[in-house]
Amino acid sequence: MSGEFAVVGTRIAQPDGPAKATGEAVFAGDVRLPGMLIGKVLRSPYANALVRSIDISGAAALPGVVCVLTPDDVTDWNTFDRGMKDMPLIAGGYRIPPEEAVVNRHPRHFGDAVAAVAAVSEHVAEQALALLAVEYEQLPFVLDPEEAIKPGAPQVSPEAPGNIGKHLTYPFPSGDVEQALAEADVVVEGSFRTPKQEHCTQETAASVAYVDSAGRLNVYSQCQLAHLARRELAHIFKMPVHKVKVLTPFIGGSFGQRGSLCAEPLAAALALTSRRPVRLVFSREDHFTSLESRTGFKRVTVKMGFKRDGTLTAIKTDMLGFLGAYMACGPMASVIGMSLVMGLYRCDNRAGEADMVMTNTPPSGAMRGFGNEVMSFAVEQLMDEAAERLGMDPVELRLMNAKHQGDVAPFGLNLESTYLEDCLRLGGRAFGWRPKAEITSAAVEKGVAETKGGPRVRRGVGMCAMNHCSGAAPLYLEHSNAIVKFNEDGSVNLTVHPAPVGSHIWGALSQICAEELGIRAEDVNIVTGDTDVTLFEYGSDASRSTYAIGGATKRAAQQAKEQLLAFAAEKLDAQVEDLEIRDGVVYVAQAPDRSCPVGDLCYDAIYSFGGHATNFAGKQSFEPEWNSPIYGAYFAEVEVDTLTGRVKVPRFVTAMDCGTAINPMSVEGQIEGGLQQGLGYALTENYAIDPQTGVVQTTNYDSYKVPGSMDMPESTVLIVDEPDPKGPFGAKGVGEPGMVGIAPAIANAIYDAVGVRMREVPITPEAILAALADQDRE
Amino acid sequence: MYRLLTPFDYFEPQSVREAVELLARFGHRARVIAGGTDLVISMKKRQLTPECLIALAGLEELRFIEFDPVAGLRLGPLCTHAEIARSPLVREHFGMLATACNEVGTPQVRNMGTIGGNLCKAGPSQDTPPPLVALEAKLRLLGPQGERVVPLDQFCTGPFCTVLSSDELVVEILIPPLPPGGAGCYKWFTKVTVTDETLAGAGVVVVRGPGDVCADVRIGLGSVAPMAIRARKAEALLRGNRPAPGLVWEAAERAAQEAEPRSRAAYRRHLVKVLVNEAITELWPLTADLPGGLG
Ligand SMILES: Cc1cc2nc3c(=O)[nH]c(=O)nc-3n(C[C@H](O)[C@H](O)[C@H](O)COP(=O)(O)OP(=O)(O)OC[C@H]3O[C@@H](n4cnc5c(N)ncnc54)[C@H](O)[C@@H]3O)c2cc1C
Repeated sequence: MSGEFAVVGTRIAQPDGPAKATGEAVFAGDVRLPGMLIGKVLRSPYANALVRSIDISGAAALPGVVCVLTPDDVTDWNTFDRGMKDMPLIAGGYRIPPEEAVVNRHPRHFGDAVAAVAAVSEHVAEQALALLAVEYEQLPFVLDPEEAIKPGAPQVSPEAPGNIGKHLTYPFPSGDVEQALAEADVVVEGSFRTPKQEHCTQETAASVAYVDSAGRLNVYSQCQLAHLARRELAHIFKMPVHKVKVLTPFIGGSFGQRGSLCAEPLAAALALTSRRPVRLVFSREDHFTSLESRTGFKRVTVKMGFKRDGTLTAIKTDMLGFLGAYMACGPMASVIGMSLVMGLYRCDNRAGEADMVMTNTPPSGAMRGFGNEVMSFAVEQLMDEAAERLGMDPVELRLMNAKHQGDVAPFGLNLESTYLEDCLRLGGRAFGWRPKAEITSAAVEKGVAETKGGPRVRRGVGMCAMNHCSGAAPLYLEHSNAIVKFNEDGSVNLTVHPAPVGSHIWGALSQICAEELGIRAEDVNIVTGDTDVTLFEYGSDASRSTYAIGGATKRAAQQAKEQLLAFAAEKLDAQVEDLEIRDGVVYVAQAPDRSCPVGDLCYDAIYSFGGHATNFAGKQSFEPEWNSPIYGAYFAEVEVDTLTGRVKVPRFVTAMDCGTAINPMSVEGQIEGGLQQGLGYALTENYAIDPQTGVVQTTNYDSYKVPGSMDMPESTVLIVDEPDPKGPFGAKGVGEPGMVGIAPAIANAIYDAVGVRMREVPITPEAILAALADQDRE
Repeated sequence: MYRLLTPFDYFEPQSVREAVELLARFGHRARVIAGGTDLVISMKKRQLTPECLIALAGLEELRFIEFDPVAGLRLGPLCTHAEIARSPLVREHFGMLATACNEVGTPQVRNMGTIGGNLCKAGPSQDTPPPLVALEAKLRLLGPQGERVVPLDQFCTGPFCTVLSSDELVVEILIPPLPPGGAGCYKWFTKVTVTDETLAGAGVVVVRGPGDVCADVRIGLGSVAPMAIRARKAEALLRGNRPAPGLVWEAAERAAQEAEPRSRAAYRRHLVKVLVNEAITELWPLTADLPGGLG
């Protein structure tokens, strides 16, 4: 498909690659400023408590300590919602109460910030923390969402009576689901459980803040939504927005966690108080105990009805999620998950509800997939079960219920393009779908002790389908901007503000810009990272950067190109319609001898003494009204050791309809990274909280296990390179989908291997053995 | 919680004698550092806050691998896991130790971490003790009062505790040769991921004697008790008998009972059973026509 493009579809090296490879790239934690102090945060050791008093005398007297912040010192500032977002219209336009203070008198979870210090060195800051004498009054707490909604349970927040942070319903209900279920020939149902998952960004949260001589607050921030961060920081510190400047350095991973404020409010508060630059770098422990992690669900109950021929007629969902002690971004995980997964297939009768419950645990929020992975884990296993009951192949069942172009898309819009069928067929072919009959695993052959009746190691295959959105229109604000300015040598400066979290966004935007202008990608300089310079940008979340910022970029480039071509038409004595730009040269159609390099035109326009001086530049605001769903099919092969319960995933195939792949290498990177993260979600990552105390037990990688390279399957990524009518050059977003289908495909493969349905992630060896033992008893 | 290191003095002794002198001088305030892969973590976690570190890295006299058919293998404590895992001598005579060293952590940890550090750390889930107790290894210790030799199964006194006094060094690890007809292997199962800590490990030696019976069997278990242990009751079940599948399974179950894991206890016991059964079942045929021992 991309054959028709010059730059789009090529595997360019990333513009920021050399800076990262050489170490020249500056991340937040690298920022060094004259006189800079080091900040440290004191966190509550209790799940729920009141700070009676803090004796700061010891800390304040320690040489080198410049400032100590206690709850008494922050009362002049506003409380805030770290999630920052204007809430989606579709879910009733609800408001997240701004309940969090920079440091809290009433810490509501283990790890909640209660005080902070800034000192001349990390050592001194650490000693100062140890010298803070806090008197706590411990309060009753509740950790389990099922307990939290019982009458008489301790109240986590005054804003959430009965601890129901938010009751949400599926925004696109249709038909009569009860009647359809009653009339269905086959009904499948199940109750599932999914945990919190920590984002495990490579770089920990960090921020550097200082107040300049003009009284402006400058904040180096890793936030994915820099302009929203500026607005929220201005709100917290009661400053006009123009007094706050947010600077975006390179960001060492986010996966959704930096979609909320992390270290910024504390760094800024310390800088405003000490009047010195302050650097605050969170530890890995700070991450696990105080930042948002993936929204967990105690229970997701799904019921689906089918006609005998396989037609899906009904889907009903009931979710019980836990938000933790602050609402933040967590509630929407339910609505997004329901919308995407209940909208994946054609189905006339749909209804869903979710109770999102507050508990005295670290907050929940957005993480890659944002609820899609939860509902996929449930629904895609039930699809598998239905296929078995109906006597159909799981791929066939999905093909038969797949949506088509012109159907209603998951968020209620017109479905502009879908190539799910291609994904299922291509992926199935590459995987060799249904090799089940021929069990030839090496592991099986060398299986030492044979268990009764069969080999010790059993091989199985499983698959699932998925759709996700490119941006979240019409649920969230969608507003991007780009400025394209021609330089006098024919290169351009592209001013945009995506979050450089490692997803190759600079490269993608430079390719889109270059393609539109007919120049080389390396002739596009990215100007970014400073809210003083960039126009408003909603930011990089919801798999939207290439799609939405790319859309703004393409439009701005087009505008600049129009100016250039009008100038060229005069110079070359031709009609604008007859001009085209290739490799940085403007040609007149049918007259190859009449041409002029773009650089010459730009130079002449700028250094013009004829009264026509102009600098070609385009500026476009773009607000996508669509979200071009991306489709995918996932195929997993597993080996289950029936003696130890260990699951290995030797092979995985992903086929993705991501529209035009702007850079196939980046698409592959996203999908393989997603596979690794999905593998952790499915099999290894177990975020643990002590049920007696509320203390987070997994606070670092010695107890929280992320899969490494040795755990990775042999992975095949197939790109269905078909353009979408709405995305820039046909692109859709591909950031999140990679991880979504991993757990359901693996769970289905486990069933194929050993005949047990695993309804809870992570799927541990112990859980497999317990399920096998249950199976034996039956 | 991992934190910045607190300040310390750093010494680089030029000889083992000098190292021992420094230890005698500073006593409990000092720690020796070999590869540092354990010690630095303990310091970052504030479990240990030594005022001075005595670096062994420069002491070539503690870095050797020698084999003698009568005395067996002599290992310098400063040998890294990587050096041991790739040593032809170790692989030929005590492959189970090479296997265990190759299982430690990741390549970076194997290149830095030493066998002396592994034994002196004396953590319950360390990988070299299970094969080494099965091989009946001994340690030579050197202190201001001179030398002593301690069998490995008497070296550890509890989790992270050894008989080593604060002024003593491990200077050699001795592994006696296996008798003819002897073979050994190391089997393990990791906690969660492939390169993870060991959840259960079994170092097993089987010796075939006249009459095709188990003349000797030694089962070293790791990660399932406060320290590496021998499953002596299980060994007794097999000694003098033909290891028929039923008996091997029974012995494996007995070994599982001898384990005393703390967390994930039922599952760890189950793994002991699986690993011991697997090890003996695999080893027995190998001992059929062995000229000499094969660890
Ligand atoms: C990521 C990671 C993964 C790991 N995985 C494994 C694993 O899979 N299996 C495993 O067994 N271990 C593992 N370890 C632990 C560690 O790497 C090993 O125990 C290693 O062998 C320790 O050796 P070292 O030289 O680094 O010891 P050091 O840290 O230098 O020392 C450890 C202790 O021994 C003392 N000591 C060292 N040498 C002597 C000596 N000659 N005489 C007296 N005292 C001495 C030190 O004073 C210190 O108390 C892992 C560690 C890390 C960081």
